[in-house]
Amino acid sequence: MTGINTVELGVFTVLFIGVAVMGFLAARWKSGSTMDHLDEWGLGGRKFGSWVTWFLVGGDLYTAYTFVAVPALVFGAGAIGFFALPYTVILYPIVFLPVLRLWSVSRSHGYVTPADFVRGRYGSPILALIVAITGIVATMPYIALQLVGLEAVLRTMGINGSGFIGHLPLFIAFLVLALYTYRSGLRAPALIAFVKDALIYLVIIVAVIYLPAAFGGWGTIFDSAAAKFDATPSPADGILLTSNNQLQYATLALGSALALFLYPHSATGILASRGRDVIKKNMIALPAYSLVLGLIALLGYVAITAGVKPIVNESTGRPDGNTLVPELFNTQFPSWFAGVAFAAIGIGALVPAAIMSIAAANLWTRNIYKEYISRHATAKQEATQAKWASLVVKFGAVAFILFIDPQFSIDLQLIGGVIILQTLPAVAIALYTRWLHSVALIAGWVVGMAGGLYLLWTIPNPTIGKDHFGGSALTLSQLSIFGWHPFGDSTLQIYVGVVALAANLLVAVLLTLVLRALGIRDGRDSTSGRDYHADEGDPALRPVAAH
Amino acid sequence: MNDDRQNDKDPTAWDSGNPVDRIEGTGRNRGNAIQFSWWNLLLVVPLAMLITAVYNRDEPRLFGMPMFYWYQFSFVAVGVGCVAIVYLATRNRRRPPSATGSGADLQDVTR
Repeated sequence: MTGINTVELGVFTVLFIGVAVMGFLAARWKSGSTMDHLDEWGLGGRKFGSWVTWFLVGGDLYTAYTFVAVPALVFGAGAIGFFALPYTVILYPIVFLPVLRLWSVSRSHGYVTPADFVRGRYGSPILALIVAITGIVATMPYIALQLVGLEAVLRTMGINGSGFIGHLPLFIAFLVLALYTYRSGLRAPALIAFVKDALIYLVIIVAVIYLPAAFGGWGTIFDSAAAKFDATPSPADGILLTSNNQLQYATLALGSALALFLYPHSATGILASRGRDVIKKNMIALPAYSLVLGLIALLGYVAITAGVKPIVNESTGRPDGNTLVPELFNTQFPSWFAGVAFAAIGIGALVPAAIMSIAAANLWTRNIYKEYISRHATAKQEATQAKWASLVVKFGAVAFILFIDPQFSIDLQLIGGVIILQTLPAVAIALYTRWLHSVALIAGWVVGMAGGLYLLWTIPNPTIGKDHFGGSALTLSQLSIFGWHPFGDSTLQIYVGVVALAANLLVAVLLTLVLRALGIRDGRDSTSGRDYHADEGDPALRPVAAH
Repeated sequence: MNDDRQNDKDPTAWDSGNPVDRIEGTGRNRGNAIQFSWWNLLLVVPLAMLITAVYNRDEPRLFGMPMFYWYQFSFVAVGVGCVAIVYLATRNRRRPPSATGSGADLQDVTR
């Protein structure tokens, strides 16, 4: 393979060291009276304003992995990969009202995680535990995937070894990340997100102005992509959707949008904001990132036109599709600019990885450690526990990438979207009504999880030679309920997540009716109506970082 | 307080008659206190982009982009517009109590 590109690596390293210094200094930024409280370490003092929240949540939701994997999908399969745009457009109208209620009730009661809310709303430690574990399991592979994104960039710069030495730069990058997250908590990614997003916007604006012009305009780019897809034997790819995958496209976008704010790291970004108005403004402003994501997706077609070939991963021997966009910059731009682009993606991996590890650590501390291990833990003990947990989570993610095939992380991420969706009834619906019984919610979760995992297991992917976990598109004719095929031999495809969620809801509703008819009482609801409308400036508002 | 009156009149507190709320109510529990506004229905409009049959075609192209792509890009503006209208139309429905008073130190919730 080619050697290391020193200019690219130099620019990358300088920017990387710069943000590391910022990460350590962030502990002093807008600091509160103490760092020994989850409100401070885990939520940045619950006082981020509109701008900080915009950068933080933008950096949190639009991750490095998204920026490399979405164009890779568009490159390989065409129109279906563009689902990322409708997904991130319908997201904000859907969550606009529920997240406000989540923020208010969490602010009123000092909840740090979605599972805290479930605990308070239903008085059921088991339901809260289920929500917490689902959140942690769904988040872990997501963190590992940020490493996949970071590695794609390192590989393009020529750092493409195998074994421990080959992974050493990645290991160092994550060690630095782990240390400043330990020290500064959520303030570190919040501050670094400014740099990440400024770089991303700069790089993308230059790329989408320069690249189409260099290749004869968007018309030529789409035509050459269409010609490539026509030449492949697969009938499923193309620059338009086929008759079979339109339902998959719409349900994947909808299911992903419903799932995103159930991920604990999304909730962390929202709960760290100062008030309802900050969140509302952000729901209007965040689609700026969606626009960028849509443009980045189209770089997949530009890569086809430019004849970019993915770089072979020397530790697995397979081509790494995630190197497409980095390789496009590598071949089309001067080295210094490619270095800036790589730093944007690399730093773009650190921000969400930090927030996700904090979110997972908060879940562990609040809903497992404090609930089951040390019931009388003080605020300081909680903060210490969370700091250590964030280290464990990050090193777990590194171990994932070092010792297990990265493909496994990608499979798990696919599963993650389906399983986190199963917490929708217990978290999102509970924000509006407590009609669903907590026992019925647990039963619905079990059915949704088991059904979703089973369906994912049955999906093959012949093009990469896999029999199981080959994707999230279920052909309706394959859907069988104990041997009954409700959709006959339909060849339409649908996203597994929404099928599993439908089963989950059905069970939850039916069982609630039964339990109510039997008069079985539910746990205690410690929230009250006005909690869902609390806002900054209310006289009786709970103080931050108080125990 | 301002806040109290609004909750008393809240017609959507339908769930407070639920046995669960009655048993466990803390005395000041007024159900779920859902505030509805007709403006909120605008939030459904962007979901129209899930109807792929409308735009899954190549022609007409805009700047060389097939309709499939430019149509969805245009929905970024639709989504932003709908959320912004709902925000502006409903922003004064529930004013934080202290905003009518001094209102100067709204940001300093930690102090």
